[in-house]
Amino acid sequence: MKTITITARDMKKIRELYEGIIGNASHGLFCQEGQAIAETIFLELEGQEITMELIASKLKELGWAEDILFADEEVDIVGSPEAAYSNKTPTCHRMRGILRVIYEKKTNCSVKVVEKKCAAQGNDKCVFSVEKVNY
Amino acid sequence: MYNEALESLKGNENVIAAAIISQDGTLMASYCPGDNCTGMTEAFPMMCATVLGAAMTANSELKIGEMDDIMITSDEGTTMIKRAGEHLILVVTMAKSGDMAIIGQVLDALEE
Repeated sequence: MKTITITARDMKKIRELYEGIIGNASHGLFCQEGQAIAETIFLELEGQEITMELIASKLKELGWAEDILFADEEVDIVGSPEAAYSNKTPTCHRMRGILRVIYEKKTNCSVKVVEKKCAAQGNDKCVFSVEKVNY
Repeated sequence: MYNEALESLKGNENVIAAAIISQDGTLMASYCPGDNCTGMTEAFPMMCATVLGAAMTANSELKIGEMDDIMITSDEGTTMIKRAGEHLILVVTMAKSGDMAIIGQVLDALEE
C-alpha cells in the first residue's frame, strides 16, 4: 500500500482552502473523510480482536494522536494534527468522523460526535462527546 | 426544539420534505411524509449545506449583497435552501402548486 505524508500544516491549508469555498459545509465533508478513513482502519484490523486499546494504538501509529483516552461518552485526544494551529472554533473534523465509526461499530447504534474543546482553541487537549441518536 | 419548528409544515399537502440542518451538514430535524426520504439521513443535508456554502461564496464574488436563498426547480417540485439565523439552514421541498411563503412560520419559530 502506497503512502504519502501530509503534514499538520498541509491539513490547515486544506481546511482553509475548502472553508474559503464552501464555508462550514466543508467540516461535514471532512467528517465524512474521517468516516472513510476509519472504515479503512477497521479493514486493516480484520482478523484481530478489535479492542479500544488496539484502535487507540493504530490511530497513534498513523499519526492521528499522541495519546487517546476512550470513555463511554467522551474521548480525550492529545496531539491531534488537525489542531496543530490556533483557530477560534474546533478543527478536528476528520477525527469526529473517525470516532463516529469507532463508536457506531462498538455500540451498534447511530452516534453523534461533537468536539467540545479543541487544542486549536488553546486547550491542552481535544475533548469529544459521543451520544446515541435516533435517525 | 427543531422538530417543533417544522410543525407548521405538517399537514400541508404541498410539502414534500423539509429539514433543518446545521451549517456543516448535520441533520437537526426533518419532516418527510412521503416516499422521498431515503437520502435524508446523510447525503441530503450534507449536499444542501455544501450547495449553500458554495453559492454564498460565488455570490460574494459578485459584490451584490448578501445571498438570500437558493431555489432548485424540478419536474415535480421546488426546493428552497435558505439560511436560518447564524448557524442553521432550512430546506423545504414543495410541490409545484405549493407556496413557499409558508417557510416564514418556520423561520419565526427558529428565531424564538
